[in-house]
Formats: sequence, structure tokens, C-alpha cells
Amino acid sequence: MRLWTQFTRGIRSLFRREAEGALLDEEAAHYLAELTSDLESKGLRPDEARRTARMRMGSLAAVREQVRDSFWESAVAGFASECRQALRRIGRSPGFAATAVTMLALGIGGTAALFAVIESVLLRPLPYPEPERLVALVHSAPGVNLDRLPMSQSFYFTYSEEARVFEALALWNGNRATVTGDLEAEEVPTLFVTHEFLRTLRVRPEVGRDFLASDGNPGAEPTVLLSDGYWRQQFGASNSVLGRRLTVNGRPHEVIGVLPRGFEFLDEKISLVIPMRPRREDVRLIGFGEGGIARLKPGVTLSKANADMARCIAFAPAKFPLNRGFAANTFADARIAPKARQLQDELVGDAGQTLFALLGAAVVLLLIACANVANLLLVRADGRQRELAVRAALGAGWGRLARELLLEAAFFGLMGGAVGVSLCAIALPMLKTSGLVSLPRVSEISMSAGTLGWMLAVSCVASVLLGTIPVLRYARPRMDNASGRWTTEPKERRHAHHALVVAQVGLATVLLIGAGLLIRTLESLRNVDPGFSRPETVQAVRISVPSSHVAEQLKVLQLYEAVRGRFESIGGVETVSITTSAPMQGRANRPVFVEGQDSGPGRVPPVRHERSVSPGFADSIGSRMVAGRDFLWDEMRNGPPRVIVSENLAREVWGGPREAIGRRIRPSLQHGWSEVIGVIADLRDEGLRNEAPKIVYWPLQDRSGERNELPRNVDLLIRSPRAGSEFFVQELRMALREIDPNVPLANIRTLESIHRKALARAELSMALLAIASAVALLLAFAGIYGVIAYSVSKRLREIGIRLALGSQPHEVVRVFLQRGVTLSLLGAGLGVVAAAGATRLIQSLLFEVGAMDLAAYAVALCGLAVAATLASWLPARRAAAVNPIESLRAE
Amino acid sequence: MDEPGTDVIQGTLDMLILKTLSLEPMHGFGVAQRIEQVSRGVFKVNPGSLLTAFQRLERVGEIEAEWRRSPNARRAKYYSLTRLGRKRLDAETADWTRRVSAITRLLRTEG
Repeated sequence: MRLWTQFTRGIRSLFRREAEGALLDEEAAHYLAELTSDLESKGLRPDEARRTARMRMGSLAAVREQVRDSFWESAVAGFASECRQALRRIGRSPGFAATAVTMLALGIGGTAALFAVIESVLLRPLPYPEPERLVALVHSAPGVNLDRLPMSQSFYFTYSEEARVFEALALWNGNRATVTGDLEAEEVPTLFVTHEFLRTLRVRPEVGRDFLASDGNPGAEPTVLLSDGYWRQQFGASNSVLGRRLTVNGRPHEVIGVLPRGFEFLDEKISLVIPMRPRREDVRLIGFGEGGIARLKPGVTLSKANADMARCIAFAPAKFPLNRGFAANTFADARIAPKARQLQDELVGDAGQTLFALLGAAVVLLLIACANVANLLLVRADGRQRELAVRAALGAGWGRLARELLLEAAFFGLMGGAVGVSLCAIALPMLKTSGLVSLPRVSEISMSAGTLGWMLAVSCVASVLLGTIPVLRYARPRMDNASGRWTTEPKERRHAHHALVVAQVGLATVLLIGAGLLIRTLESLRNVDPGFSRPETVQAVRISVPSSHVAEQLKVLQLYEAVRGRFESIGGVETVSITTSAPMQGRANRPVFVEGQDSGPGRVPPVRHERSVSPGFADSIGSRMVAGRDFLWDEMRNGPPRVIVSENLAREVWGGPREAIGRRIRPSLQHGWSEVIGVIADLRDEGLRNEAPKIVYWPLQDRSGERNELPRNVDLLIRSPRAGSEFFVQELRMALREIDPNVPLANIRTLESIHRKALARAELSMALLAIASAVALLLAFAGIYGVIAYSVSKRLREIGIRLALGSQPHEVVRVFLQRGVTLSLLGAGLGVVAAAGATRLIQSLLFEVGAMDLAAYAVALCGLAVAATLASWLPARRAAAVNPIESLRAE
Repeated sequence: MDEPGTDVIQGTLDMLILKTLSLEPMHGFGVAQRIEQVSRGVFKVNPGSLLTAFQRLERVGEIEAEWRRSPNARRAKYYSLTRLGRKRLDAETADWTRRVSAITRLLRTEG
């Protein structure tokens, strides 16, 4: 209670300090007056009485201070006034303040932005309840050389029936579906899932109901869930949508619910979710093309889950028949092993390394900025040396002086932080919408309380770093320095400046070398031959023809041919080809049996990349036939089955492209042989960083099996100089509508955009690191320049004496130049050592560049040498221009 | 200047002020004068300490203040005891008496 009144009264008196002070003064004055009259009444003369009273009482101001200082709020008020003074001092040199704040804001804002990204992408859990229990069901199959094998329906049933570690599991398959009906035919992103999917994620529909087991029943009427966005856009968010029928891929689906707003799965925006309805008795053992997720039971670890999955896998061959045409021991030889991982890790992938490397760069930049500002503060405190010494002599405690210097540094730190926050708040949304950033979860990036806390912590650490150096040097000024009349510079003071410059140069060296390595990486990636050429002139569009729309395969082929013919008649179009997937976007794999080699029973041939192509594929992507010839359109329908392979496959299997022609292969024992008629140059189908996979190009219509196989989802590759233009796409759309108004044009992009995506992450990290290192170089330049210039200005008298005694101006210049260059060399040397360690951390970001790449080191050091020499020479030159007489006279 | 023994015994200033004010409301100099007179000049009060003590006692609500005209027509701050102050005075007086008699006894036996 007493404490509380102390506190509240204290607060009140803080806000009424002026008024209370006046009252206190009045009371003291009254005391003095009464004392005086009392003394007078005792017989003293009025002037004598006044003097005695004053003497007894002491100064009124001292009384007031005595009264005030005995209460806690006076400490607060004192601190506030010190803050005001510090701010006033800062305000008196706005140029200095602006420089310091800008440097710090860049450093702090940079680290904050990267922290926000890391926090949002890596640290923030997925937006589902208890996300740490969600895992992605992935496998590896070392026996067929696949280190990533997704889920199959057979495993889905096996795990559902046998596994003990899962609370729920589901299959999913991201795809597109065509919606027709009252609305114009449209392809929309669709997720096909088994009925437990939402329950596994623990997401409930906002409207309507979740899928039930009956929705997975192949005999029941198909059902569909809408996304919030699709519901609003197509149905005006009307509740009456429940129970309506939506025609998806030609079949009516009953709308049973709407997903919550903002629902996303693995970064994909989805419009529809439709149950997969596998018929258990039709499921074959092999067929790995589905995604799998599961929710672990509480307390189950990943390794326990993997062990249990491994146990279950052993049951699978007994539960499901092997696909026809596969050798009996295919499954066992593949040696499938589980490799479940956290769903979050699956989503984020390897983005973490890039982000942490960039955060490291930002922190280094911040340290350089701090070193620079500390140097500025040191120079500033130097200028106040005399004032500080006088105040210390007059009784200011060193604690008070230290507090003053620290406060100033703290204000710089906090202002830098505040400006940094604003920069970050402006930059983040721009970064998000710019499309430059190819990161997972990019839409979730935002500033959070964690980011603000990080900013505050960084600002405080920066303030302490900044403040400590001048405090250590100046808080206890010695009287012998107080005259401020040096002819030369005191040695110990130079050391602080020098150490800071060496640190700056060293840190800048690390960044420069890092940026150099990434530039070299990007260069190597750009030089990689992707296997296609002039990608900016290739337009890719996707169409799908569901069997409910066109039942007969023959008709589909006719449709494809008609579309190709119609597209080729559009002005400016050179070639049109049809394929199951555009370059760098294919994912299909199948075993390939080679005639006369490994078709013996019991041996499983390696799995190969594959895609189905129409004639003209190589032409349309700008690749070339290394040997043999392309397909002909006629061969899609007639004649013996034929096939094309990639050059590296031909080399591996037959020893060379020419040797491959005329040989025969097949995808299973059930298929007939197909004759190799051509060999296409290699294609980097799995990204620029990965070796070109060995690919089999089956004809679009493959007639080697029992049934003709014709893909119903295909990409059209159209080579034309007009690719990418709005008009051109419009023309394509009109042309397609002429042929069939119910087939929509989807996934419109150019081959160049696909290529750029493959470069995007390397480009982004290179660009950011290049900017960071340029700023670092600039700051280091400013640091060297500042220290040399300051040293010249302090040693004008010494220089004057030297010149008067006959020194040559160029010798004087050399002294300073030498100092700047020596410091830089020292810094660069330390930087190289640090870089050798630091660049190992970014090894995984590099491509065909060693961490000790000589060119990168050489370029970085040359750049640094030029900057250091220039930064020392510019101020050193001024030393030579000193007029001895003036400098000696000046005081 | 250094007359020995004129400082108020540490910790007793509050009690002396409360005692003085228990007779009638008084201004600062009045309190100082009264303490000096009643103690026959043994205690001289430092004005700074006195005004600080007033602030402290006012803040905890043991005395309250009012601006009034003094007899010689000056505006002065008059302090008076509150109920809380009276209670504290009684407690302190009892405590003090107990201590003093104990110390007196001790000194007597030692002597």
C-alpha cells in the first residue's frame, strides 16, 4: 500500500514537476523569510539578519535539489533530461546523424527482412493443428536407383490395414480438372485425395461436410469440395451451392462443402478437392505416382514410423498381385525402403540453406555498419575530448559521462532499428508480390512479433557495440590530454580506429568472396546447355480431353492432329508438337527392357525417365537428332511400334547413338518390342544442377502394348517468334475453340519462363549477396577514407613541420597511403582466412565452382585493393597540399 | 560552526515533526523553531531535511498541507496531523520510550 502510494504520487509529481518545483521554492522562500524576521526580532540588523539566515539555510536551489533527490522519480527525471540532451546533441549535427542512422538502418533492416522470411518459411509451423505430427510418406528404391519414390495405392491400403504408428493417412494427387456446364469450359487446379485427407490435416470444411468413407466408394455418386475462393468467384458465396451438381471432367459431382478461407496444401492454390476412389480389388502392387501424408500418433518419432512402415512393406506383395508383365522379383529387387519426413521439411526443401547464408551476409553487413558508426562516434567523442575533461574536472562522475556516450549510441541504434523496421515493412510486401522470389510458403511471409523482437534485440546489441568503444576510451578522460594540443596523434587512440577499419575490410572481403562464388555459380548455370534453345520463342499450353468428353481414343488422336494443324496455320508459327510434359516438367519413370540384354527372368532393368511425344518434339524445343530420324505422324497409327531415346541412354546401353538405331526396347514383359529409330540430344529434365537424365521418348500413341495408350493430358509446344504475347495466346484460344469449345487452354507459359524458374533461386541469392557485398565495399571504402582523412587532419602540424624541414610532398602522401593500404591488406588477409571457413557453409549453393575458386578470390581481392588504394589516396593527397606556415600558425 | 550534538538523532525527525504538529497545524519554520525551543537548543533542524521529511510524510498520508496566510501576512504552507499520523506518532512514542528506558538501564548498570 505504501509502495503503491509512493509510486502513484511519484508518477504524478513527474508530470507536474514545474508546478511542484515552484511550490517547493515558495515554501523554502517562506522559511527563509520567517528565519530572517525571527533573527531580526532577536535584535540583529536587517541586513545582518538576512545574511545569517542565508548562511544557515544555504542556497535555495540546493535545498530544492536535496528535497527532490530523496525521491525515486528524480532519477527518472534525470534520465529523461539526459536523453533530451543526447537527442539535442544528435540534432545539432543532422548530417552525421543521417549517415549513422542510414548505415544502421540498412544493416538492421536487412537482417530483419531475412529474419522475417526465415521465420515465416522455416520456423513458423504449418497452418494445421499439431503440425509436428504430420509426415510426408516417401520412400527410396536403391535397387532401381531411385532415391525418391512416392506412394502407391497398394501401400496406401497396406499402411491403412497394417500400420500401428499412424492416426490417419491419405493419398493426394495435385492435378487439373476441366469444369464444364453452365460456365465456360475451364481448367482449374484440383486436388484428388482419399477421403481421410482433411481429417489427417485436421481441417474442417467451413460450410457443409467433410468426405466420409462412403465418398471413397467407387460406386457412389462423385462428390466435390470447393475452395473458398472458387465458391465466392463462381457461386457468389451462396449457401445454396450445397447439393448442386458441378460437371468435372465430364461427370456431375455433388457439391458437399466449402473449404476454409486461405486453405492451401503444399503451396498450391486449389479450387476443387475431389475424392480418389481406388477399387481395392483392382489395385496392383506397383504404381508409385501418388503423394502420401499421415498424422503420427502422439509420441511417435520419425524413426519409429519408418521402422513400422518397413515392417508393413513386407506384407504388400502378399496383399496385392504384381502388375502383369513385371518379373516376379521386381518388387523385392527394387529394395523399397521408407523415408518418411516431416511435412514441413518436405515443403521447405533446401530453401533453408540459401536463407541462412543470406542472413549470415546481412549480419556481416550489419557488423560492418556498426564498425563504421563506431568509428564515427569515436571521432565525435574525440572532438568533445576537452569538454569531457573539463566536466570530469568539475566533478561529473565517470558513470554519468559513460551514460551520456552510451545513450547517444543507444539512440543511434534504436533510430536505426526504427528506420530499419519501416524499410523492412515496405520491402517485404514488395518482395512477396514481385514474383522474383521463388521460395516455398512465400505467400505466408509477414512480419511477426518475433521479427520485431529480433529487430529490437539487434538494435540493442548494435547500440552496445557502438557505445562501448567510445566509453572505454573517453569516459575517464585524463587531465594531460585536456589541452587538446597535440602535434601528432596519440598512439593508443589510433589503435581503436585501426582495429575497426581492419574488421570492416575483413568482413567486406568475406562478403565479396561469397558474392564472387555465387556469380561464378550463376555463370556456370547459365552456361549449362539445357537441351533446348531459344526458349523465349516456345509457347507451351496444356489441354486435357477426359474420356467422359471424348470416349474413343481414335477421336482424341484426331482432335490432337486437328489442333496441331490449326495451330500451325496461325501466322508466325514454325512448329507444333505434342508431349506429355514440357521440358523440365516431366516426372514419369518406367523400367526399360533392352532386347538381348536384361530380359532374362529375375532381373529388373533400371527405371528410366520417359515422356510421350508427337513428331516434331526435338524441332519445337530447338534440340536436334543426334542420329536416326524423327517420328512421322503416319507412324502414330500404322506400322511397327517405334521409339526414340536420348543420347546418354544410347551411349550407356549400346555404346553410342549410331549403335542404338535399329535396336529394340520395351517397358514391360507384357509389351511388344519397339524399334529405336532416332536419338535426341540430352535434355536437363531434372533442373540445371542435375545431370541430364536418360530418357525414352515413346510415340504419343504407343501401340506396343495390348491396348493403344494415348495420354489425355498433354502439353502443346508451339515455336513462334510471337510466343508469350497476349494476342498470340488469344489467337491460340480462338483456334482451339473452333475445334472443340469444351476443351480449355490451360497452364499458359513459355519455355523461357520454365528455364528462368530453374535459375531463379541462384539468381536471387546471387543478386542479394552482390548487393550486400557492394554496400559492404562502399562502407569499407568510407571507413578507410574516414580514418585516413581524420589522421591527416590531426597531424597537420606534424606534416607542416616535416615539409618545413624538407620532406617531399610525395613522401608525406606515401606515409598515409601506406597506412591505408597496410590496414586494408591486414583486413583482407584476415578476411580471406575467414572466407575459407565461411564459404564452406555455402558449398551446397555452389554449382561447378569450388569453395576455393581462384577467380572469385582474385576478383574480390582486386576490387578491394582498388577501393582501399583510392580510399587512402584521396585523403592522403590533401596532406601534400599542406602549407607549412599556415599549419604551424593555426591553433 | 561545528557545534557538536545539534543534529537530530537519525530516524527521529519524523517523530519530532509528528509530535510538534500534534499540538496545532504549523508551517515549516514554526516546526523547526518549536523543536529548537522545546529541546532548548540541543537539536537544530536542517531546512533541507525538514522539507524532505514533510514531502515524505505528506506522500504517505500522515500529515496534510494547506496554504494559508501566516500571522505576519505571508502565504505559508501549513501542515497538520492526519489520523494515520496520530496512530504512527503513538506507535513511535511507545517504541521510543521502550528503547530509551532500555538504553538508560543498560548505561546505568555499565556505569
